Amino acid sequence: MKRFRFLLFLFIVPAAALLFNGCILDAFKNLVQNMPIDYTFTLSGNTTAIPKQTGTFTLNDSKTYRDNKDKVKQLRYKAAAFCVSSNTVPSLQGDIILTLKAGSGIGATTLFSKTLAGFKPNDYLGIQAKDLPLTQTEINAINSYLSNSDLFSSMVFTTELSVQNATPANTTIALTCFLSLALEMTLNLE
Amino acid sequence: MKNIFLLLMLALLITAPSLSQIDSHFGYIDEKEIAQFAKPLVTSLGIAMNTGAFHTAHIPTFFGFSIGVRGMIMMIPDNQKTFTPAIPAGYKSATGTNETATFYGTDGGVYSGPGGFITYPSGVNESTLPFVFPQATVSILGTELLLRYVPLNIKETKINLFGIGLKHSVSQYIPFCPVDLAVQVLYNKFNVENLVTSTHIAFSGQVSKTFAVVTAYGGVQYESSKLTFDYNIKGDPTSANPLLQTDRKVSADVTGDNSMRLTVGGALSLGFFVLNADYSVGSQPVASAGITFEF
Repeated sequence: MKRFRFLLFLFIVPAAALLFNGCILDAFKNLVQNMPIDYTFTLSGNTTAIPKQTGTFTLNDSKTYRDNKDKVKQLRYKAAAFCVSSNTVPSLQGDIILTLKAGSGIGATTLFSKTLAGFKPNDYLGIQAKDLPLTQTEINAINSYLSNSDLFSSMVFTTELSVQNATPANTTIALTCFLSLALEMTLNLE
Repeated sequence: MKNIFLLLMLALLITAPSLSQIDSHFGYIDEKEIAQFAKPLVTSLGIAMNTGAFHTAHIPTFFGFSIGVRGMIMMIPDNQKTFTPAIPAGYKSATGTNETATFYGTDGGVYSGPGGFITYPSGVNESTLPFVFPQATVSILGTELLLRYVPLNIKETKINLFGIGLKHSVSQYIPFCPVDLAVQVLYNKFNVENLVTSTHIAFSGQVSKTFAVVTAYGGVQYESSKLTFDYNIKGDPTSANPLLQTDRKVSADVTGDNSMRLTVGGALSLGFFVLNADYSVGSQPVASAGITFEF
């Protein structure tokens, strides 16, 4: 009987160890999901002086984040894009300066600022997104801001959008566009 | 002996609740893409259900009984860890690769387009999936009935496996046949309440040869797997994918990539106990082992 028991253990223990090794369990306990979060700008006025747009958003503006806020253990930057939702002047063109800051008010620090020179909204309206390639330094700055999971609920982002050298001159415009960020969200499903 | 049984039950309990958590993984993928995302998992389940049904082609001509446990580990090929999603015109990868993870893969895809981002979930980043279940057989006059049944109730989720198989000795009709030959049909159902309903069917031809206490065996098997997922999409109005913008419940059928497999293995008889191990080549290779009490 002792011999049988030894053989049984010899056979079963390696098989059970495969299940107990934790890897497969850890894999099922975590979920990594890419989460989009947008901020929409509505610009209107005359091309001679289009007012600068400034606004703030928080992670709570994302339903994916709200649905999982109790389980989120990590957020990381994945991608950024600029998109156009509507445009009343098809020939509109100008230099767009898009800025994302960590925090709000005068204490906000710039995470990135991109100039889209000679941007033609109609080239993107319903056609494509303008990808915003970030430098590694800019990505590190965003990830650093996102690194403290205790502060997820209170994190604020400030966005700014201004248009310069807009043409056709002296034309009334109405442009709706948005900055879209994709963040990688790691959830703890336990 | 009590410790061994406890160990086996724990092994069963570990695999099953992991599968009950897959709802969370599917909530961010629409019903059109779920087939591509989940196909390797369905294939794994199909392979698991259709594995370990024999360790010999011999069937007692009068009466036989066995009860045992089968453990296996499916190995996921790299080409089953990614797929290319059907993204709409105007969208392109924002991360440089057009592929996204399947259930077993790593990085989920991010695709930018006029509506913002379409995003996909990452996979579990695993190359293997283990599975364990018990089974029993009763044979009479060259025909064997196989039964598997595992009812579990974990965190108020009912998980159950039921399998039935019928095997018939062919070599009994061939005088002086140097090897044992048999054919077998196998039907398995694996359900996770309110999430997964799956059926798995296999037909096999088996051959074995016994030398004293050692048996060499092999087989060719045709198999198929079909799984229905009932899951909740966790909608987000920000998603550029219209199918992922609202919360809703969906149901999707996924067929596994199972077809043919070739199995070779060996068994060692130790009185009333048989230890066996085999390896199958198919859509996903699987190494299987079993312990059987039989007479």
